[in-house]
Amino acid sequence: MNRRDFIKFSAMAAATAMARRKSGAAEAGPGEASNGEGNSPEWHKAPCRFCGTGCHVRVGVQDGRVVAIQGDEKADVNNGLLCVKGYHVGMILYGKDRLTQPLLREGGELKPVSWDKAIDVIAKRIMEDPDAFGFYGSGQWTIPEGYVAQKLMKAGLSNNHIEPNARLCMASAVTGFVSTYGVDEPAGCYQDLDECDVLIMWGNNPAEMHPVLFSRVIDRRSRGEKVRLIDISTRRTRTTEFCQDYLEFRPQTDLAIANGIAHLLIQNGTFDREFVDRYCHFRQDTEPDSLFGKPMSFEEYRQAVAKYTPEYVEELSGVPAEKIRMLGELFGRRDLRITSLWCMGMNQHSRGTAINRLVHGIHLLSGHFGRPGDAPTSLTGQPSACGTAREVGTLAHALPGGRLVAKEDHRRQCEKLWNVPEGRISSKPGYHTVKLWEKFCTPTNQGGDIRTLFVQVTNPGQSLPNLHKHFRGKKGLEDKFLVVSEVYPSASTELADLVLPASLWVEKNGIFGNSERRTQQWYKMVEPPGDARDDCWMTIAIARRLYELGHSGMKDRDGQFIFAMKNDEGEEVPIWQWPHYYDINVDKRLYEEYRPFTWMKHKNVAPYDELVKARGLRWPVVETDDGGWRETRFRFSGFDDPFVEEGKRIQFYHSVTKDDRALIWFNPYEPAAEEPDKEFRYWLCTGRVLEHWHTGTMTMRVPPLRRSMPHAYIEMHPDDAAEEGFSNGEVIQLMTRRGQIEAPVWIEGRGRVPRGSLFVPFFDEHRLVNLVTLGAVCPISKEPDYKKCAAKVGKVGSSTPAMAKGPEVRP
Amino acid sequence: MNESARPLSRREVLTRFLRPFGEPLARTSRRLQGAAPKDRSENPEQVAVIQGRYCLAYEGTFCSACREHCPVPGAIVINDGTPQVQRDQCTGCGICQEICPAPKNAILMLPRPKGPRHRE
Repeated sequence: MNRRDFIKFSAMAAATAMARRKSGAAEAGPGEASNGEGNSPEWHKAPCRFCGTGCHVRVGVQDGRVVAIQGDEKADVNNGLLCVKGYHVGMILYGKDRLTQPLLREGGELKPVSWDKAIDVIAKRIMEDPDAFGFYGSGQWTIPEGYVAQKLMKAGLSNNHIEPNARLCMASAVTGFVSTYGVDEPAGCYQDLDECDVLIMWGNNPAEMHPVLFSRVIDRRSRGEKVRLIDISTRRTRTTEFCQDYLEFRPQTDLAIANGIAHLLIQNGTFDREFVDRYCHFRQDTEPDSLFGKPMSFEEYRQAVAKYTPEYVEELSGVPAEKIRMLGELFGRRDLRITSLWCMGMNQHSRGTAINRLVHGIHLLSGHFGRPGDAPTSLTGQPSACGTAREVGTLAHALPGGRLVAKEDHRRQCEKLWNVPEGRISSKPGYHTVKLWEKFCTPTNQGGDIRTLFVQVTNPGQSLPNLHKHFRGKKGLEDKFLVVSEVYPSASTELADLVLPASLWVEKNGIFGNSERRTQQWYKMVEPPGDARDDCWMTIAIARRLYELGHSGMKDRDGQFIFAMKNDEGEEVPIWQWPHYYDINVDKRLYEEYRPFTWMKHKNVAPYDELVKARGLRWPVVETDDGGWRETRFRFSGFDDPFVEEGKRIQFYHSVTKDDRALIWFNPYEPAAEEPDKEFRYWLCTGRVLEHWHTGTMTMRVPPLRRSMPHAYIEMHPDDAAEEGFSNGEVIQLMTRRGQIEAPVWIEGRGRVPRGSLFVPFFDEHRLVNLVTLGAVCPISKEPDYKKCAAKVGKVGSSTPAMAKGPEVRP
Repeated sequence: MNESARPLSRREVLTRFLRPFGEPLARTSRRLQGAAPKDRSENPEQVAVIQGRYCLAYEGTFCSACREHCPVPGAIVINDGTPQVQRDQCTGCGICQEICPAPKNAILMLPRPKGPRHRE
């Protein structure tokens, strides 16, 4: 089947699926022959490769190729619906420039080498200087991929320099959850969207970024249900069009708005006194900031927020005082169910932890917590940001299952579970993402003590902030070595010294964990192209090579490590040899080894065999008396969470204060790290678009998506454009203190920014907006702020000599 | 406000906008496949029709690509999230068909029915 036929077939199949969804017709499940027709594909289930929503798709396979995609009607998450990206997800496998062989840079050029050579090169780089090795993965790592990387680094190399790109994405949500509830991840689930009366989106644009989720809400409306949508944002988006209220705030002042709500709840006496008395304490920051802060009394809290009167909030934020009062009144009503949604607007924030805490805080203060529809819920951008980065804990400071490298008992538990000698795991946290790349891009003799970096399943050459400093600085540093496992050439492979071709999505087994704690499994369905291989295998093969080279860390107490696996007959299977990798289900064995790690924080994930049967299961998943397995929709709520003690309505059983109470934080409004001034007079915000997924490595290879959104643009207010003398579509220069790019202006296009603001999407590798972003990080989560920095614009060629070293935009 | 700086109509905007979008990309990134939008001009003989059964917006997911790329202000309007072609304003340029990202293209270019074209 050629490409044209694929597109045709895929289109037909998707269209059929849409029609069927409307008629509600039942259809064959995964793996079943679809309809008995001789020439029809075989259908399998898989979560979509793209975002954190975690829609399930039915994948039609014929003659060894994915030929059709349908929304999976049996999936709770999406009920058969997909977004524009999802309908085309099959095509990401078949871009013409898939990487199919390992490439080693010699004399400046990437040249094909064997896998044996490639693995050997990496292993020898590690042997040479094990502590100068870093592993950079992502929230698109499957759970086994993340787990095996984590184990190699922390239990094998005693090296904690492992980070996921989720640091750029979810880190502030994590610190928000941990400092409020003592444990990470949302209490609620997507059912909150079906039951809320009011949905507040905090700097969130789900109509573009989580379209299938947002459609659940809009569907309710078309059925005649009343749901009030409130968009609190710094620019008008597709989401705004569906909202009754649009509150446009000056960037960074979301902190003031949240405090303003808290103040009104107390002043009006409409906060939930009983909920607060029974389930909460109050907290404030220490100097310097810390994850758990210090206690404060209710009275101190009251005084702290008292300053945030509606008028003061209006002065800071530009949101009319009456709108702040409206929010205060809504939260004060117990008869309404209120769900808050947020994503990168709150997380990619130089006070990201603070704003996360504050939004949890107003939900707790007002008692809008723990009933279906009453929930503060953060959405993830990546398919396994929760499942892998957060739960497996592939972060410089973390260990699996919510443990920390800094805690001795946590290290001992992991050493025991991993069967390695006591003391194997280093107690010193590794470098967080921005630091890791900064160190990699700094000459070794100037303190740049990361010399070899292995990147899997992500594209830092495009997604890191301030790329000149954090990525391109590597150029010309002779002793630095960058290994990139990728599926297509990207901004990252451009600087790589070794490029490894990777299997993608249904070319391998996998397990993801989505935004609502749902763990989702799929099987390999087709072969990867050429010599592409699984990321999980790469890690195992490197470990094996290190073992052969005599690295002492590659042996547990029994002299074995991650490469030692047996089949059901008890015979050793050499899984480090690619032809034998699929002799057994490595994914299942790694996942089952990982499961016990999830018990300590009551994040019990379901057994692999249960995941095989389900379209994902939401943890904690517990065994029932009849031997079945039950998932949990509402964590900490007595009516649903099996770990809440009998008779309790709410129990925060991992409470920071060890008394089953959550913390309501006070954090003040503080200005952004860089604000517009006389010279750089615009706010610059970056983000995503509906058609493309993150850096576009996959979706830019899908012709319909690329045609619909071919490249990045600069969103600008018409009056600003007029004042600058730009016409719409004109290619202009955008400059910050870090560099410059060129892109066309788009006025009144997809979104609409207020005066003095610019928005640029980051999917376009030819117009890299991250060359100019700031990279200031939240002091607690270390997540960079991609949403705020100061910029100026000008006609092409107008840049001052000081800026002349840019633009580094590639042709 | 000088003349070149005045806010432009959607038509001016998008005819200018699509060119810088399409051409350089097609020229410079050959490794990405897929044709760039063709340089379209008006065709009074035809008119765009949206087939709801193939349109993502009609099917409950979100998409507004056709409206955003339409060079004529008001020729495609969004009501309750779904796009509708205002036949008397459609110039038949076919840009919406070029860029429709639905799995099966939802835009048909049909011969324009005979009769008065403009409302005014």
